Amino acid sequence: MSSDLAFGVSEFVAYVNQTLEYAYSNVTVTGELVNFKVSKNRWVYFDVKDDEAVVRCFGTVYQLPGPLQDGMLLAVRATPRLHNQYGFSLNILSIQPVGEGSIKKAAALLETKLAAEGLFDSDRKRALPYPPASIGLIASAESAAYHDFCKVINARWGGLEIIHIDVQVQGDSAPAQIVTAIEQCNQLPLPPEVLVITRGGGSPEDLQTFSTEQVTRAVAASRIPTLVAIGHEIDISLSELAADVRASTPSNAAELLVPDRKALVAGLSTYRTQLARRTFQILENAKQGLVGARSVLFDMAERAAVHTRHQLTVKRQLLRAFDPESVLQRGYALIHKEGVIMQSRDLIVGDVITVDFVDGAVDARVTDVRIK
Amino acid sequence: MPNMKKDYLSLSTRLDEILAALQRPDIHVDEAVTLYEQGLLVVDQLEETLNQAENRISQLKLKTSGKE
Repeated sequence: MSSDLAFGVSEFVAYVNQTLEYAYSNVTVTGELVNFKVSKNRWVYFDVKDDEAVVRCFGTVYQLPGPLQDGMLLAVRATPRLHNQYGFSLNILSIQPVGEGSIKKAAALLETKLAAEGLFDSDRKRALPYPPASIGLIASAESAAYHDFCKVINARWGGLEIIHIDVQVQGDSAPAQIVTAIEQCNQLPLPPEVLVITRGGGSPEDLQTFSTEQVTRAVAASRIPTLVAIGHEIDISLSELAADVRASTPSNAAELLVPDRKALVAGLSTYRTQLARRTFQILENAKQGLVGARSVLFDMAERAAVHTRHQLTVKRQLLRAFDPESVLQRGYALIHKEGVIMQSRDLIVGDVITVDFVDGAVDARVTDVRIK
Repeated sequence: MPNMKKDYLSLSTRLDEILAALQRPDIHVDEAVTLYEQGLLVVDQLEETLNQAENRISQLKLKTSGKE
């Protein structure tokens, strides 16, 4: 192909764009952010530069990971374009802060912005059902986080429905995938009771997906209560701040979600003891009651016996009192004529009577009868 | 698949009811013994529920073009 080509201006622009599209359809250019401007709350203009060169970038606010500030180091993934009027620029596909400083700066700016909107307010936080019956799990199937979470949750609890959506958790397509996965779970006919979003440790670049505006807003907007566990304890992402509950690690997420069945099973023995102790106490009380009743009965019987004995004694005394023998011993005599004579009127002169004394008896004839 | 949460919560509630009933001062001995036996049964069922139940993980394909 000859090197000396001739074009009209717009023909040339078209030819260059065709070449660029063919040769460099997508590029990632890393440089320092300068001249950052947002126009009509929609169009974004800025330059990225290094010590020797500067390149203009153009895009929309939807491609921003969050608020940006001059001086940040950015990796801009873009499509190089030569515009008819405005010349060359990188048309932004996505932007990622680069290096811990810029990442932290971007997160701080976004945190301030979202905090002002109340996304992190504690009164927005919802309690998670404990334990849940179903869980939506948004994690990379190949990650240690996924396996740690599943291992711990299987050990601790059973009978759960876990709906897993495999997503990328870092890189350009990660934010959009995670946002889609959150929306997908929320739109299920039977949404899970809790949404768990988790990934393991990594560099600030690896973790920054979870501090992008779109993911943080998606977590905050989830109608399903969310539990987010990103990286290690020290790593705090904005998604975790926006979540209903934050866990320090994927394993900790499982620990917060469900009880530990081993501990519960171990605890069952105290229930058995409690049941036995209380029932034994009731039986013991009942026994005491019987003992009490027995002693009452015994007392009553005792008293009845005493009373009976007393009555017997009295009766005996009475009998003795009425015992003719004892009457005779007291000097009386017993008169009878064909049976005991009780009254003088029962006799007439001449009657032969027998008179019993304590020591014997005599026969006598009635010589006179006197009636009182 | 058994709903462990429902089983576990209903068994736990039943056990609490039994323990509460056993606390009644006027409880009769026969009733206490019956409740005791029921309580032990519930504890056994709880133990079995806790030990037996397993989780079911299903995969939901991401709506977009999927992972690159």
